[in-house]
Amino acid sequence: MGTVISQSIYDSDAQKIAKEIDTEIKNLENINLSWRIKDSDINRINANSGNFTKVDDRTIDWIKTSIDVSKNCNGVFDLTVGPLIQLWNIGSDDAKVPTSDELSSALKTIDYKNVIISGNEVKCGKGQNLDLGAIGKGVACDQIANILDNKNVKGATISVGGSILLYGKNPNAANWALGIRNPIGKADDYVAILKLDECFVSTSGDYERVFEKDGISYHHILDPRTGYPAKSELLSVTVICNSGLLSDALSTACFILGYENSISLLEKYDAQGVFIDKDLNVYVTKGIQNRISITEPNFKLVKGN
Amino acid sequence: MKSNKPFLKRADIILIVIVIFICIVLFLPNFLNRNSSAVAVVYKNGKEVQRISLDSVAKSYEINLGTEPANILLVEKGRICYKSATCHDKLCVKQGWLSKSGDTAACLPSKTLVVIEGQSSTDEPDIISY
Repeated sequence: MGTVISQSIYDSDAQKIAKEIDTEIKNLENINLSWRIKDSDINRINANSGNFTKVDDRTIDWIKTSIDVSKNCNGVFDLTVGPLIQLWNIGSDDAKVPTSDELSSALKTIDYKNVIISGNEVKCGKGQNLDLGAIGKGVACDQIANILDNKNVKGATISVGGSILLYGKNPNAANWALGIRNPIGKADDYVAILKLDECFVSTSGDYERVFEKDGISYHHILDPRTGYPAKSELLSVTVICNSGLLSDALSTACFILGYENSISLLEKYDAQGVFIDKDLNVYVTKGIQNRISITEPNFKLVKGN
Repeated sequence: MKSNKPFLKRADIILIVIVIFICIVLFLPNFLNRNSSAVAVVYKNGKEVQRISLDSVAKSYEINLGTEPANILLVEKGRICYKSATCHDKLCVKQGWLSKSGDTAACLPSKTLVVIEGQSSTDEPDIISY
């Protein structure tokens, strides 16, 4: 996934478990998720577009959940966004600004409604291209939680490229203390601390994987309606819920939707959110308003609804 | 006979100052920790059933633990107690309010326990989401 994975596992067998987790993540990438790796489920579905392809049960589940999120956010999150992602290729050395012809032909292929599931087979429309990159890290967190369940681990904090699993109980305090990255600061800077129990957390921000061309900087969260990086009033969105996949998918969708339009979406999934806008206002949903403290004086806490 | 030695020698005063200073240094952390908010953890049969952030309690309320003998907890901003119990000796109720980290009350007949855990101070996050 080209991501940094960090783990703190509070268990006497921590090293062994950490190794197992590394193996699991490699499997995820090779067997299920990556469109770059030949013979992965996603790659086979794409290569066989227009026809049904038999895949792993887990892949079916993830595609189902992704389609469900797409429906609930009117397609601002869409798993058929593949051609658009490949066109921009942001995050690689070959990143470029596509021509408008290229964009319009890529946009024509994007529509989650053309992805059909039947039993353990999946079919995407002819010429469509699935990309589960937006949920890969969250899915990895879900799988890691399963491993920790099996090992009866008491507590652990896991980061898969910035998507977070806070597992079990913090042996040193009543809660876990989660920092939210400062969207206008350096990589280690944070603007707020949230006191959380077991949960999954994902942040989407315009500072990740940026590419510059002719003095304009382009971030990697592409809006499947326009083909361009989402014009959002937000610098970042952090979503907290009980699924890694959902926290990843929702943070992407909420970034594109903006604060006001995200509230009902988050409520549907019983998720909480922290939205930081360009005026450095920090909007916090009801369920976590008494768990947040702002640590950077430039940022203002706004208790939303 | 009148002694013209002073009541306190210079060395005595220095000693007293040092002792007071040590006392302050030792007790300071206690006072500072008062600011950290407390979490009441309620156990039933040895299993955690509820976790209440006492600082964020807006209005006081009661919790019926649904045990036999019956236990009613009363939760207020910053503190919690066993309000009533139908057990024989009512030691749990006599324990009174719990508010500071480490405060504990238990009702042995109904196998319930309330412990106050200190919330970690907000200085350093365990992990950063980006």
